[in-house]
Amino acid sequence: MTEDVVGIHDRLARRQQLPEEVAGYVRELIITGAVRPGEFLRMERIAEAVGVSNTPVREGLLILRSEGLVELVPRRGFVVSPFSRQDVRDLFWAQAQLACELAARAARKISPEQLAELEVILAQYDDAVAEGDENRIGDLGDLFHRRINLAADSHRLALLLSSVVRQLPNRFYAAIETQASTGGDDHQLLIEALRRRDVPKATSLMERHILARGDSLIEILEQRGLWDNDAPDPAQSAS
Amino acid sequence: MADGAVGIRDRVSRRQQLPEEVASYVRELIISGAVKPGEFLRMERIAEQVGVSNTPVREGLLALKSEGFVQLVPRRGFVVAPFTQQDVRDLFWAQAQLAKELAARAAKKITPEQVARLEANLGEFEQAVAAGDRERIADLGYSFHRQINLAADSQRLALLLGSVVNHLPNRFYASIEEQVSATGDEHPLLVEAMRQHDVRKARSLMEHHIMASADHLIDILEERGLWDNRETDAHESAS
Repeated sequence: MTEDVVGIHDRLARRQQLPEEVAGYVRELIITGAVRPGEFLRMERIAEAVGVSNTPVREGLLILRSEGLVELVPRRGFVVSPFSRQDVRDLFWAQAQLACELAARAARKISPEQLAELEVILAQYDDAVAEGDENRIGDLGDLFHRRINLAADSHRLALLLSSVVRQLPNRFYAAIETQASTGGDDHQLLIEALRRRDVPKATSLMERHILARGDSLIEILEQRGLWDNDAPDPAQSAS
Repeated sequence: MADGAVGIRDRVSRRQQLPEEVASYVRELIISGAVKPGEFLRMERIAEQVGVSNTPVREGLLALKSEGFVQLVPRRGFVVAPFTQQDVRDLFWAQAQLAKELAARAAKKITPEQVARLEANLGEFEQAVAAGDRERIADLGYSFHRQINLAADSQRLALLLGSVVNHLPNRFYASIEEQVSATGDEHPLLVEAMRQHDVRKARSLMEHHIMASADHLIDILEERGLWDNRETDAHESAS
């Protein structure tokens, strides 16, 4: 009985998610430098790679258009927009603004049970880091932050934050997490700040944590040669 | 031939927009208090009102679910979620964070031509206020802010701001812009700060301008009786 309903729900969610899947796939292509600014996207190839029909491909590309990652050129199709270092910085900056406010509210409201849960997640996270299990590092890091957002008891702000986070690639999560030198420490320090209900500390730790991750994503993208053909900060002045 | 291309684009965006139309119709119902928290939405009636089939209604409601306006209850359908004063304040707060950063960047970068355009907008705005032309007041208010965001030369941040602004019905911006801007002198002060490249002033004026809008909207919603039943808050803590 319940399964039946879940089935309907899943089908609905799946139909809703197809364009989102396409958007995720192409977002990664762009951010990994597999397709370059100025290049036209081949819709048939995307449809084939994701395993969907043309409609969700168009809809997915329209999502990316509203995020500014592609432009629609009449009679020619979707072209990759410039994606500058400043764009990456801005996305992380916006994420940091919302996440800091949520961390501040969590520091005021968090319960001992919620703190204990964070400790458990962090212990599992450390194990995953020790084992080099990238998927688990990503999942647990994500869970850690979602639990803090939940403790903030500010549903709408948390939803806004996830709509910003959705615009960032998650492929590099583990790489970022291990590269950002402050990574592991930050989580432990955050728990400490929350436990002591230290609002300014929780806020500043969260900001540092997220901005450091932005910097480390930029480094990774630089190493991958995303901006090799560019002058130092070109897309910014060109756009 | 340009017509042909525009036609294709319109058809694509129309197909994309049907769920968005449903979403904004229902968002208005919720925020205007026409449907109350805890009430189940009748999908057939929405389909009839908007003049679309069932599929875009479902997709539109799923979009509202991800914005937190409705919840999906298994076997019962979509129910209106509580919409608190804090929710309104949080949406405007997030908007203010992004808008004040854009205002600060605009104050750094703005050209004399762009300042002149803002001044022209002020003049037309005054005339529209004198003539009591509400639609024009709203249009000019919108274009005032868009010009500042453009002057900031930060496309991605401006797009993010747009996606936050979309969480509230347009209609409210019109009436807010009318009352807040027509009664205050914040637009002229903002132009003055831009002209002087006064970054700090631009930032704080913009924040104040937007947070004043939040207070104003809360007043309007209170008058309409949106929060008359205080059990709304009980719902929230239960969920």
